[in-house]
Amino acid sequence: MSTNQPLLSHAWRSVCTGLSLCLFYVVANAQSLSTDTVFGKFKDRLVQIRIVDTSTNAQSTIGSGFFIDKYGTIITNYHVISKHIFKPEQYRIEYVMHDARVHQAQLVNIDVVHDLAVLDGKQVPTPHLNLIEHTLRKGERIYTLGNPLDLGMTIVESTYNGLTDDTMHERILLSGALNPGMSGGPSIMEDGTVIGVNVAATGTNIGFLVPATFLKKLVPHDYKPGTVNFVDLVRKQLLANQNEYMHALLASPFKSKPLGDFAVPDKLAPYLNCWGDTDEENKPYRGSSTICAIKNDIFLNQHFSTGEIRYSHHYFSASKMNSYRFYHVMQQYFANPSITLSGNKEDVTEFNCTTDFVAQTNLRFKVAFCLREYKKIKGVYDMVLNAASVSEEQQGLVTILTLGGVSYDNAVAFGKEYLRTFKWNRP
Amino acid sequence: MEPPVIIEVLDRFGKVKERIKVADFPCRIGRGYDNDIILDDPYISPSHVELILDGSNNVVINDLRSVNGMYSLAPLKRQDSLVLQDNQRIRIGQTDIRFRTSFFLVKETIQDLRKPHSAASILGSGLALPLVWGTLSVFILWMTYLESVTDVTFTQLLGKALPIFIMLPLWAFAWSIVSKIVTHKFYFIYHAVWAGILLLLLSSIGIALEYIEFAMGIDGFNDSAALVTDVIITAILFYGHLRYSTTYTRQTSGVVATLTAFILVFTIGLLNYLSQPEFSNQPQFSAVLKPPAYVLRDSSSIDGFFSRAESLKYFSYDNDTSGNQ
Repeated sequence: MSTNQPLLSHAWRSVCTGLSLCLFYVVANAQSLSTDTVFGKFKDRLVQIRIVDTSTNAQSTIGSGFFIDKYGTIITNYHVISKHIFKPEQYRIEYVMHDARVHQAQLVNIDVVHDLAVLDGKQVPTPHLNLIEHTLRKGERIYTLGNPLDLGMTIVESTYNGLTDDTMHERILLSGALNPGMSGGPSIMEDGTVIGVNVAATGTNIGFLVPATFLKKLVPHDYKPGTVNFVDLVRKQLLANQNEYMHALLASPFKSKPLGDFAVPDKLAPYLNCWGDTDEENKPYRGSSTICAIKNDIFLNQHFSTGEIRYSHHYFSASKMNSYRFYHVMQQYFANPSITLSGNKEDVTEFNCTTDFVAQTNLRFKVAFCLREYKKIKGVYDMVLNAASVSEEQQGLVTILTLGGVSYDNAVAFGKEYLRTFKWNRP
Repeated sequence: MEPPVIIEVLDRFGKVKERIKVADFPCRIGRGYDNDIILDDPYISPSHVELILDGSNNVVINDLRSVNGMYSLAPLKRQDSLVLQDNQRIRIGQTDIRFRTSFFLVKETIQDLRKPHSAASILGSGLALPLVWGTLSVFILWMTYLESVTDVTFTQLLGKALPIFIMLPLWAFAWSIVSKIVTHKFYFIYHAVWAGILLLLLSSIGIALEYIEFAMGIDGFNDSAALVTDVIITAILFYGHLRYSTTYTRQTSGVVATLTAFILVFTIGLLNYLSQPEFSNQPQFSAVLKPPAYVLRDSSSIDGFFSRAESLKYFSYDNDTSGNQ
């Protein structure tokens, strides 16, 4: 019904990107003779992954994958097969070999945090790629393979630029954006060793690689086919992941930095991006803001991502402003927290909120604390914490904190530590 | 029926249009100018009927061979001659006529409790309009200024407040037209003054409620209190209209106005609720901020706040994972 429109536009985007990639291939081909060789040598290791709607037999999602051992084990992205996880009766997984033969595959393991999935292709023996064993040097040539739409196999040549250090989980950034259909395909060295799995996350428009090291933890696996509850596995992995980074964040008191006459939580981890802004001139008050955030980069389904950490502080001061008016300005920020959290009615509950006055040393805040739970992933919450200082007539602070996909205990622990970090150096 | 008789000429809604006392008989009724009673109905013949007294002093009505005849009502039946009874109703042409005796009992007089110089008449005077609108203008400009988040000039303030200044007279004018249709009186000043008063009242109550919600720290107080205010204001509005344009007593007007207000506000509230989007990603909370001087409650500790917030984590929902897209 409503899926027709997005699918169509999705297909168009794929075709357009695919064509430009083909063009790129032609250009790249002229520069390097080995691209063709690499492609020809390893194309039988690649497969196209299809998620098929069992009721209509129409393909609903496509992506790429590759064999990682001779037992028919296939690697792809979690986001390629996510529909199958939440509605296994409605969606089945198929893969298409380089010679156009179609086979059924069974999901055997996932890593939702790193966007990886392992499938059993139920074929032996299969030609396969090996994982890289040594560390790469910057500037080394890499080849990104994939099978977008039905345009056939695609290869893109680029160079290795090292691991990112400003993301929570290590990634390899690609020089260009990837076609969504190339998701799950491998990026390899000239000798066919896999350095990472392509991720072309829809919506972000950025292509990157999940380093092969994370694959080693997934394969081999100790599963018994058909016995794993994958929704529960998603839940466990999300909770374990947020426990890990929350414990790291909460291990020591939060660093603070000055904002006006206040001390506010500073950049709390290297993976947070922070920036600041000062208000324009034609206002009866002075105001400045800082924002720290990571993108919600854990894909759950096509309209729901999680993992967000985002907080902003807005400082206001005036010398001769009616205090009613001054607080009305603050209210504009306090009342509209511009939540960037995704998800719809099937995914999450609506927010439950409570407000109260809260004292922190010589500061008095009006605090609003809101929670919503994930419907299919029990025990995982999104949290919004808004606080506005109500201590002084013409000086104030509004702070807005958003955490996506955390346990209740961590939401509260983080909220407490966050509020405790605020100080006011009364002038 | 004995003389004298009172003839009630009825309009098409059955309301009395004209009363004529007949003491002298015979009495001829028709469209012609030589009749005792002249009726302006094109379906009535120049000489239509005649009232006479019979031997036993009863009033009898006779058809004078009119074109369209004479009918008794309930059941409708053509009559050539009829001995009139008290409350007898007949139809000639397209006009209904009822006959009463002079002993007809009229209803009790309604006591007018409005004093000659009550607030109502002051509000209707020429002084009230500039007074109320002047106050309202100052109020609107001042609130617009207080709620502006950037530097504003007086001209900009006027520009922002202009829609209200335009809408208010238009609103009053529109209701005056309704008033003209229903009560045949224009009442523009009444509507304009009352519109101003109600707007002032509503805005002031709204601001007061915000202060209370902030000062006392009561979640959602504003919303529920605003609903009560709506009922009260609407009830006042209906009560006033009922008192002015009907002969209902205070009690009846009060009951009718309150019930109507309840039903109206409830219906509008229900419609609003039903037209809400099915799902919202935005948290809803009490977002009112006022200057610190108005905080009337002790602050919680951080730990205390979060321990009281614990109930937030319990959600009840239909955990259906198989639904359609």
